[in-house]
Amino acid sequence: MGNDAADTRDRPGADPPANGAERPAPLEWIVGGVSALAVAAMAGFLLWEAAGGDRSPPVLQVVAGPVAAAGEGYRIAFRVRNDGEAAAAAVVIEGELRSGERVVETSTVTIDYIAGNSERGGGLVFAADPARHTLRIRATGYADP
Amino acid sequence: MSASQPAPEAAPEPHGLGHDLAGLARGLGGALIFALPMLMTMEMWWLGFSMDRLRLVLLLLVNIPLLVALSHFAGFEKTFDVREDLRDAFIAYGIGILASSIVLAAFGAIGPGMGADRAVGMIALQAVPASLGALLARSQLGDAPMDQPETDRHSPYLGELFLMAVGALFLGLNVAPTEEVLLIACRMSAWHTLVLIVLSMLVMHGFVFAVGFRGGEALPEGTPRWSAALRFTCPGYVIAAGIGLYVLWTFGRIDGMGAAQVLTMTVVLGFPASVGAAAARLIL
Repeated sequence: MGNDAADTRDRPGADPPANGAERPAPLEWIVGGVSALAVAAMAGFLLWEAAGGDRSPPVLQVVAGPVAAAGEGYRIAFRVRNDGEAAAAAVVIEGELRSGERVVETSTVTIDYIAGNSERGGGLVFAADPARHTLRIRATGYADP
Repeated sequence: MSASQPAPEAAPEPHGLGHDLAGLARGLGGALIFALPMLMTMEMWWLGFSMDRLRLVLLLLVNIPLLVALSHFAGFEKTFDVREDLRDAFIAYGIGILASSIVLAAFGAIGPGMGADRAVGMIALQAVPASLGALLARSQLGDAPMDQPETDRHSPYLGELFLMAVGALFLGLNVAPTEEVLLIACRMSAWHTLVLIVLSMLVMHGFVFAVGFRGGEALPEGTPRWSAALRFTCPGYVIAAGIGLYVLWTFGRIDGMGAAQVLTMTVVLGFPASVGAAAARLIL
């Protein structure tokens, strides 16, 4: 497998980082073997995943973060987790400020994609101070990608 | 290879302002050829100022050894020591920064009134592909005669792996900023992903060994097909996928993603990355 005898003529003073001109073939076999194992591991993981059958549908959970004053309103950061295996697209997150039964203000945002078993973040902006009201944030819908 | 050509040793670095300027212009041209698709992608602009600063710095540092290796293995001005390779690498980096600044400014993507941190981030990110282009142009599109038969222009094994990493990084950088990587990954089942892995490896193998592009390789007599596949195609694919994963991580595309999703996105980006890796082996 002498990769190329010509290298010695070509580059007499090759520098250390890539000096492989006269590397013995075993290196190639070792690198090749390790790589083959890595590819096999990837394929194995995918086969295991495929054997699990259809992906479970998206299960979206929203966790509200801290409230902060932002410009003339208030911003609430949130994280959405998709605990299903399938991805959800165009996920609509709606936040509601309630005072008793009355809805004071709603605010929505759309998140493009949330992959399976993954999470994304975002923020909702309200004019009213969320601290004075009851806040509810939830995902109201999604599309299949 | 006509008799009128000087022997290779007789072509040391010619000096003079004209020659230097021509080389610089060639570098600028190469930077444009390679980086324009990215310079005209708005996601790349956004990433320039929104991506994690440490990951950006790491990418800028990772680019240096890649440029040095590229200069070493692809340079037509045969450089024999690390100092010259380093010099060429940094010249290319400088040209990349210059080209990125000029084009981004011409597009109005950067300009006065914009925070310096944003402009610097955008230029720095674009300088990576631009510098690769600049170095390639200085070496490949230069006026040096093709004084060596193709068969002599092979790199040692580790050098080939390095070059494949450069090619994978380049095409990976082209594709990774787009939303489509995630979209495609979301649509693919595990079976799709498996097929794409096989397809990527077939394409890599075909590019280099089978379809007979100029610069491709004929297997030496008696070498079994699986041998080349094991020693070149497998490592090449792992490198391409690894670079794909690295670029996705650099751009924050896999933050918060589950393992299965990360693997699928890696395979999706690994496809163009492996084409880039195979092409780098052919061209360089």
